[in-house]
Amino acid sequence: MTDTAATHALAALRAALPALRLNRSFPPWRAIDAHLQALQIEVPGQPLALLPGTAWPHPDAWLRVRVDSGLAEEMLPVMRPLARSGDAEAQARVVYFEAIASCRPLRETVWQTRLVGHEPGRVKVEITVDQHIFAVPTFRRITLRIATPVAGPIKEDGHRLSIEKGFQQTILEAGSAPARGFVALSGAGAVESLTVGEVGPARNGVKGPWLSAVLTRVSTALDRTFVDDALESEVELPRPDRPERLSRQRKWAIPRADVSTLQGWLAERGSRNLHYTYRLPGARP
Amino acid sequence: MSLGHVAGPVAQDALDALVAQFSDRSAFIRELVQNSLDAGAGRVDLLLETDEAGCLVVDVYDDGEGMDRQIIETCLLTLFRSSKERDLTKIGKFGVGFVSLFALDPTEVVVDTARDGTTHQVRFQRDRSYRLYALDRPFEGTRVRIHTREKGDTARELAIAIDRALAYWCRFATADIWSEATHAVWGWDPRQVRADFDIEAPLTVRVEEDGFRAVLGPTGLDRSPVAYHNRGLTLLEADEAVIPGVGFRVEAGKLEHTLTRDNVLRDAHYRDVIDRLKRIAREELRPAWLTALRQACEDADDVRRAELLAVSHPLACPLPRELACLKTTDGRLVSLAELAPRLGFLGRITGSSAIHHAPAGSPLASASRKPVLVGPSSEDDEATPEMHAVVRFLELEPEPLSARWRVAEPVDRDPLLAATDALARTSGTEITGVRGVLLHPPPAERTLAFRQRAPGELRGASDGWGDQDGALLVHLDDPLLRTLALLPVDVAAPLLLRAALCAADPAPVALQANLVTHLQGALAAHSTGEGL
Repeated sequence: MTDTAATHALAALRAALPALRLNRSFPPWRAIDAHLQALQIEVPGQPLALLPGTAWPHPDAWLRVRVDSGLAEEMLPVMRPLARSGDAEAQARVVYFEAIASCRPLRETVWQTRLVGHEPGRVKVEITVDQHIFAVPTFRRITLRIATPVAGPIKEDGHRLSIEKGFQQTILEAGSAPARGFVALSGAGAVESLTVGEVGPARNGVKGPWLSAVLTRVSTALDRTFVDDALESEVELPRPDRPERLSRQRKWAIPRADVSTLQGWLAERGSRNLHYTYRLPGARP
Repeated sequence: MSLGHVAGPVAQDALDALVAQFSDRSAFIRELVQNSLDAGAGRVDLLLETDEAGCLVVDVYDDGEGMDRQIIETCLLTLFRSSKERDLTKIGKFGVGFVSLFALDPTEVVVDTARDGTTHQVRFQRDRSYRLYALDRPFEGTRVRIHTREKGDTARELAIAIDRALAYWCRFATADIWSEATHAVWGWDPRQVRADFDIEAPLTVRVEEDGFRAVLGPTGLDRSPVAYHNRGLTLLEADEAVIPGVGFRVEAGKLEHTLTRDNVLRDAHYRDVIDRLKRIAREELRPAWLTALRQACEDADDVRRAELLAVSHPLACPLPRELACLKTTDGRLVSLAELAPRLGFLGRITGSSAIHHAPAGSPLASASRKPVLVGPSSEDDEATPEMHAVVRFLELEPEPLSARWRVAEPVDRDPLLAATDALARTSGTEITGVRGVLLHPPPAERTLAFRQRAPGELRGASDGWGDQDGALLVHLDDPLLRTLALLPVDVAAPLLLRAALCAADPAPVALQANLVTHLQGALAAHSTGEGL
């Protein structure tokens, strides 16, 4: 794909992101959008590349934004004198670093813990962790609602709740394998629900990218297991002898002109995935 | 597929009582948005449209986690039940929010909702009976469609009231809230309901932690504007003396509405939040304010210094006694200690303690051996921050320096005064000259002219203006002088000299009054061409 095509794909992704209607079970879309916006800044001598076979920017590009925004503060004092002396390359780099310095790139991992309430001898919490794994790239929010013993892996210190490192690792692993993860987490307390919301991948559509998001929930409150994911046919399910069930659904944001194509593609896979439409940048209302 | 129904009204009396609680018919929008936020919605859309019959239809759609049959039957359809009970991450606690929409007396309410792959529809009739259906179509979130009977102007008025209620209660919500009305005449395009989580103050501190965010600022007031929110939803905005001298906007999962929705529950959770705010005010806001004030003094930034001084408060932002931050009429900065060096019992000032103020640059100020604070330019202007600070921290009311001293300030001559001066010198009177002056401030016993040995000298307020000899000083702001200035100088000069002599010598009041009457008559005759 040419640089221009990649640039168009990126602009389309930014239009698709809010159309996906990502609720609090997903990572905050504005943070992802801010990173995509940073990817739109032209890098001197380095065209934007997409991940082969997808409409998703290449992992290197995602990572570059984070690294360069961190470097900008150090680079600018070095580059500016060179730029002032007439060095054209330095001038271009100053423009780039000044632009990237004001960006707010995604952080790798963001933890939030909220108190749900107290039960006799237990503390009930909602743990949310946002993971932005650029190597894949995957943008994931794991939401765990769990009641653990007071002496368990979650400690209350005034207004702050802290999570033991080992338990944090168990939560992160559960994000990749929710059915198994639920069992592992149950060792620490009573798990009410484990929800994993992921943004991506983005497929190449006919007129523009098809951006998808998938929500997986494991909970004892579910009365059946239900999976409708047009991209993933092999989903690990809870063991039948376990009390919890799993629900997994994918949804799509596609250009309006691609609706019938997507519907046909979904029908081929026996999927009824929900889809929303977005207007391609520059397209007529 | 119908899953069942209730044929008759549900607990009619209880429901009627509950609906009546929502006297504001548009308050339901707050309740529905609250339910949407509790369902984890990232976006809530309010759509106002009219049906084929022209009746208003209110559509609220969110992308939250929706409801399954169990939640519908145990919470939505059962009064006073809630899946949110004892859950600090939820705003609603009473499970009654949904009922509020019946205050609109709708003809039908249709709720579509989906969760974990199953979609349901509940249709409520006007008598609040309902039917529950399982739908065989993918859906996400929850949509509530309220069919009202309002048409024409009442539909427009209700739509606008709902939109305003949405803006008032939900403008800080953590989800994206949108409002749109499709009516061809009174509708509006989609617009986001959003405001910055902020307060009006010259300086603010912000704290944002898991499930808690607050912005605090000094106000200088005992009762300050405060606002309580949960997930950005407004619970209460009011003026309260919770933290004297500090205004705030706080959002915490622990804060709850009362059942009547007109206040915040003042429970242990509330007290916990307030304690936390007090600590922030003490440990972060106070030092930040003091640092900013010192910086403004150092930078000679009078505007910034004045606005920070204006919000000082004995409890929240106490002014250090030794900090030179109060402006005097001669442009210096002085401290409270300089103003009132003698402190008696419990820090109260003892002995002769008057602290004076005067307008900036006032010639009166040179009369005082103590610093004179900058005061208002006129009686109509507000007291300055310096004066407020003295009241707050020294418990003294600064007095106007004009109450103690008077001064007549010589000014440049004008043609009329020059002519009058020349006339006086050659008139054979004892007058050695005529000068123009401005009186600071205008005394109550305003006078056209008086004698003074040394123009510009200060006089005690109780001493009156006049000496027995000296120059004749004419007050340039006197209305009579302004009238005479309209006449030719050769006519006006003898009149002014005569009038000034009468005023300064001091002529009987009746004589002055006669003279004024005479002059005004002469002026009128002059203006009509009849001559003097």
